Amino acid sequence: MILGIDTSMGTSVALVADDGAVLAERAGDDPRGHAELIGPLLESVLRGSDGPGPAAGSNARAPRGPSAVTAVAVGMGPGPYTGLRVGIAAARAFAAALGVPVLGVVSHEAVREQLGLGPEAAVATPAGRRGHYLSVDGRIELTQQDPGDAVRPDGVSAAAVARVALRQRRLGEEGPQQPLYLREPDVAPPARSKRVR
Amino acid sequence: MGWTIRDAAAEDLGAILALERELFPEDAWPEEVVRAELAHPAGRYLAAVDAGGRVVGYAGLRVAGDQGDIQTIAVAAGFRRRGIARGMLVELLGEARRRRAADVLLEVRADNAGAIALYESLGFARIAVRPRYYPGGVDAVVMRLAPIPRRLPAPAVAGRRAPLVLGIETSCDETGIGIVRGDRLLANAIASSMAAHARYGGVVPEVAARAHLEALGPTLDRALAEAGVALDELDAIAVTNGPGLAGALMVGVAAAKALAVALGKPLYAVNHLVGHVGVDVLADEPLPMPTVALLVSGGHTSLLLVRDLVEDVELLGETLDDAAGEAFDKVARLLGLPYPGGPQIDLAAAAGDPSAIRFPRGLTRPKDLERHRHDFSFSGLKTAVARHVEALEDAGEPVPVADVAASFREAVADVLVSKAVAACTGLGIPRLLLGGGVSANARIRALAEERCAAAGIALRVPPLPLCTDNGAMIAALGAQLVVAGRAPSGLAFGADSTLPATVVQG
Repeated sequence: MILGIDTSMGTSVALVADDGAVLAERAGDDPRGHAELIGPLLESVLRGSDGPGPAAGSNARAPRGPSAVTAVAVGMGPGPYTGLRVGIAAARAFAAALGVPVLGVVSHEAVREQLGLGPEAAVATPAGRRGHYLSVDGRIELTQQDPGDAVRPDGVSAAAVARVALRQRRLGEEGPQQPLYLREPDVAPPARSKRVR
Repeated sequence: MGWTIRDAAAEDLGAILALERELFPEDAWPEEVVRAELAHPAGRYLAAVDAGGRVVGYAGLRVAGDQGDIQTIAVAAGFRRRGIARGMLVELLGEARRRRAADVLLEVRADNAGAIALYESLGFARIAVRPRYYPGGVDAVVMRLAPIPRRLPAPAVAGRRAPLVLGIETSCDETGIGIVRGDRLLANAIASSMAAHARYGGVVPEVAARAHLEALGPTLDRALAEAGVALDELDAIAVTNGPGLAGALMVGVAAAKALAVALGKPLYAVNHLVGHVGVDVLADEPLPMPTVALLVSGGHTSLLLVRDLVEDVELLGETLDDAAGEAFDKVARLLGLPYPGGPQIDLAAAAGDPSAIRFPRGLTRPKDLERHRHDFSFSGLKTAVARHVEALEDAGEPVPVADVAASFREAVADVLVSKAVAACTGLGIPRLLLGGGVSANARIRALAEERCAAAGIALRVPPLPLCTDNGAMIAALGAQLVVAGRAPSGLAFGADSTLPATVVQG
């Protein structure tokens, strides 16, 4: 059983069986509030308690609980940094607590999985005031240009993240280990101090 | 009637001997044996005490090679069937595992069915009988537990045991993971991203947040190894949820929530500033409450009145503009000194005259004191230093860096210490605690010592690794909340970059 987490757009958490069946999935659409939502969503998916967001494709009878998790799949972005880090920090800590591996996934690959798209389909997700993250044919960029007719998903599904991770594992492929920030922090070394008058 | 399990100490010898003689009149251990047992480095002895502090039980473990032995376990007659023996055993089994014992053995009287049932419930199996081992010809049953389970059952009856708490701190540029048992420090692992900020001349929030994400896992591993505990032994997790840099705080909050859910442990959101005060419970003799606390760092300059760590913290005053550490950084840059400014100014000032230039002391004029008695301002000071340096440069004169550094530092130290001492005397509280990275500054410490001594104020400066931002202080404050019986914070709280000092638990 794989725990999936993605916070590259909203906040999404899912439990997926090793055969890819979705056991539970919950999401909050708020493009902010990742740090608040991640706790209740994890608790809800793993312990079946009521949490925010609709339950999707859930099979409430399936055995759940943290100890049944054998790997944590997480969307490594691209996505706005502050929210993106919430999911990755949670995934790494959860995996450390259980002694299971973290499986990194490109969040746009999860979008292709959930929408049944091939690698040639362009996918665009919002990058705040920086424009859009645009991916096509395995390349990802941060662009200020209008992404044109690229597919723009409503959100990234954590169940799809887990399914991509399962496929990667089956094929012996490894996803990204580091967040896909795509650029250095927006900061320049200081100039000589300003004169005061 | 409550009870607590704690480590037994040499002072418990008398009480343990009395109990030993009362409970085992025919074969009590002699005093020398008990004394040696308590002090033996290859073992651990616990005492169970009642609400009045009286010893009502004790138990001991010895580990030789990879084999653990329960040496003794005893509970006073009026205190049985409350889970005390079980609580002590569980603690000792955890200790045996930390000492890398492969198994644990014990002997028990064959006619003590209650004790045998307790050991069996913990997984011990009978492996042998020693005929007529005890006085009166009673057989001993030898029991063995192997392997020692990773997950030990919690005591069946809730007793107050000093809680094992892990604390996570990510509010600025230090990733801190600390582990405490009640008021005892077990680990304080810190990773700093300071070097990464040096080229920018100050902490860059995005750089700090990225560094936290990468440092959390390794720092957690180091803390667990240092403390010799496993995550599933924890009683609770505590995390800083403010004040601090929002993006940095969120990394710690997210990790803490995931740990709490994965392990099924209660989670406490705690205030970073109060953590700086709470760290003093780890000292041998904590300052009594109420106390005044001066917290000075790159992000904060706050004067607190702490009447009770978990109940009653009042913000007396804070900086209206720059934090003191920020002023150090900016003046260092002005003087062409590298980041971080505090240690650099300290170095440069060593050769300078602190009275060479009379820089202004912010908010100390009588009129300012009316409204801002306990507040600080360093912006005017920073500007005064800049004007002074520029005037010299415009006149083509060399800048006396040592004198400027010493005079600037003196102005900061003077105003910080004056206001803190005035708060103590004004409130009639003869205790002052310094916290935050800037309390490492040699001049601020020296001036605080001098003026506190003159005013009859007891000054406390925690050791440096507990003074700068760290996870141990968050764990220590979390443990205080647990002991006080506070409900956990739940899983829905967020990071609050402006969390007021008065909110101890977020």
